[in-house]
Amino acid sequence: MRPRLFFISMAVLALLPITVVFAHERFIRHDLKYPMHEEYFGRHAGMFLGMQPDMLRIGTTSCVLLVIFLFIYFFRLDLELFIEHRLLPGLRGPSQRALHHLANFLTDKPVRLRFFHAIGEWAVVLFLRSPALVLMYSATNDSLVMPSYPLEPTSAIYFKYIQVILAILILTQTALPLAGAMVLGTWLYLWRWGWMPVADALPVVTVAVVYLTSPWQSHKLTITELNEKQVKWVRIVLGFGFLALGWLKIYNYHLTAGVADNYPSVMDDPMIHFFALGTNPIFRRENWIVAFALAEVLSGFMLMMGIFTRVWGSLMLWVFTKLMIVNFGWDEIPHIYPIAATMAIVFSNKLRTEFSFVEAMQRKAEREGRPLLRIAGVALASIAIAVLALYPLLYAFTFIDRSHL
Amino acid sequence: MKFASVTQIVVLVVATTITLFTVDYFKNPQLWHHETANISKTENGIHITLWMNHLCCTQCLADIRQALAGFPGLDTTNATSPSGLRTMEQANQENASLPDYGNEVQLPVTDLTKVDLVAVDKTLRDKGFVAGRIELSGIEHFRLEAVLEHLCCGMCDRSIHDRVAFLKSKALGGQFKWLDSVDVEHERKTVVAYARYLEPGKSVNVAEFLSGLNYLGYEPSSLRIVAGDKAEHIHQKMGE
Repeated sequence: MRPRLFFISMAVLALLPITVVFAHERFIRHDLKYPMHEEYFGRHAGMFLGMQPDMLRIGTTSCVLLVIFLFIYFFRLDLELFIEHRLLPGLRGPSQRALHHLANFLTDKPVRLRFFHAIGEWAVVLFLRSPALVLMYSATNDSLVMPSYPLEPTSAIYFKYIQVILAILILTQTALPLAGAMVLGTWLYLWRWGWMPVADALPVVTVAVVYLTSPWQSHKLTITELNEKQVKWVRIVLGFGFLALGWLKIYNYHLTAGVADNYPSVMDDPMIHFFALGTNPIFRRENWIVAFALAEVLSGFMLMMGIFTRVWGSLMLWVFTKLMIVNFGWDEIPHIYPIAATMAIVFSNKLRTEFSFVEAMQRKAEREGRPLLRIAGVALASIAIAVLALYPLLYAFTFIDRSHL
Repeated sequence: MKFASVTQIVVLVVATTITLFTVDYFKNPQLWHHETANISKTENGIHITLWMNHLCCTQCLADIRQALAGFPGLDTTNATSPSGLRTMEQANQENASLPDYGNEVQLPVTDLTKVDLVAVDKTLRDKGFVAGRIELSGIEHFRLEAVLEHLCCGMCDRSIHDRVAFLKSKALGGQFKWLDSVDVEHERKTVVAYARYLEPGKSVNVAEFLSGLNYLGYEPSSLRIVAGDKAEHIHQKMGE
């Protein structure tokens, strides 16, 4: 009974209807309306690690959650066997096949279904072409790549034409390596405005990976599938982009709080509330920023490292779509691009994890008949990964002087 | 099938980056040599140029000058008038039609804080004239602050955000290109329109904002130009 309850509660947790707000603040109003508790993000003498206790608490909640996800993931094959053969052994026929496909989907294994494959092919086409729509949208709004980067009137016409040329290359799938180089070159040009726009625009680089690795005669091909290396790099770059955006939310917390000031409804989010559980309500906005940021860091990290890629990818798809259609509307229309990129990953049958060595280690311990070593090894690896992924930067951010922002 | 080599990729990426930097450097000198741009601003000064839909003779000009005489913040004595205007007698004897009966009057601004564009517009209308365009020049960063006596609820605030965005996207004739964003300060009953960087020698038609607000159903009681950029304003607000 105990394991059954545990797995059911984990499934409920994974399916919580979250409304996390990802990386949207670039496109929408974000003027800070009320002063913040600036001291919250700084050093606190006498406190553990010199950190604000609520910030540390949210960090710890995130860390524990990451440990749980990592631990379960490293035992995903055993979990699948347990559910199929021990938890629900009586299933037969279509329901058994459905459970098998669902298990494959949740554990990032290939899903051998025709409709799944068809959606995957369509998602790749959308992913490869959607940047053209975003570029054209930006060009008509006198912006560069994203509506939040307005062009100077003196040079706007040149940048707009360059964007249109790039969009034509993308739409006609002509000389994709050139298109990739242009995307990458434009992203590098953003350094001219500082490192923050560069980090902000990281997800844009994702598609450049596919363009650069496509053949020169791409216009003669129908590209409907990404190879294993392309999927890997798309996943890593996209995940890293969200990870960076998550950390930026804490670094540049005024901007994040500004979004909440303009759209207070974004603060009423079950998942963010979960991250901020037990924190002091006096610092409601500050706690929300840290919880929101770490939720994004967590999802970005798992996507980047290939831990429950489809689960986190699906959640992100839900969130992006909801933001674009329900919360912010037309202002979020450029999110078609990250939606397409995430879809291409979620519906790929070539998913791998960067932590396969931990799985290999536990399999070896299993073969050698050392169950304690197997569990301890996975637990230690999960804890080490989670701690390293979250605490060092969270701690380092308390030393940063943000007065220049 | 031929794929791009690493060398090709590096060359293309570097070429793109250099091209964008070059365009930026040569076309946006104000961003790279900011001091130079500031000097050019102070040398020319701030001007408001009124495009009068009707200004055909010296008598029209005299009436306009009289209407604006002593207007706070504007130097009407040093106003630049159109040259070659007919006198009233010449105009009476003229039989041929003119290609355009309108003309412009350029007014130096002596004190920006005192200039109220709604008052300028109203004064001209009271004298029987309409300024089709009110062009502002000689100021790099500015915002327009329109006081709307009727801003009763959150829906009023929201309508301004929504409808200004709509107007901007519908402005196929190039209107509102200067407009960066709008902010509604409900407590002050003020709509703030932040302008994009205004290049020296260029002007923007701020009357677009007046007619835009009218289109949305609001009549501003005043419209003032405030120098400074958005970040400065936000910091001032936070300081309060």
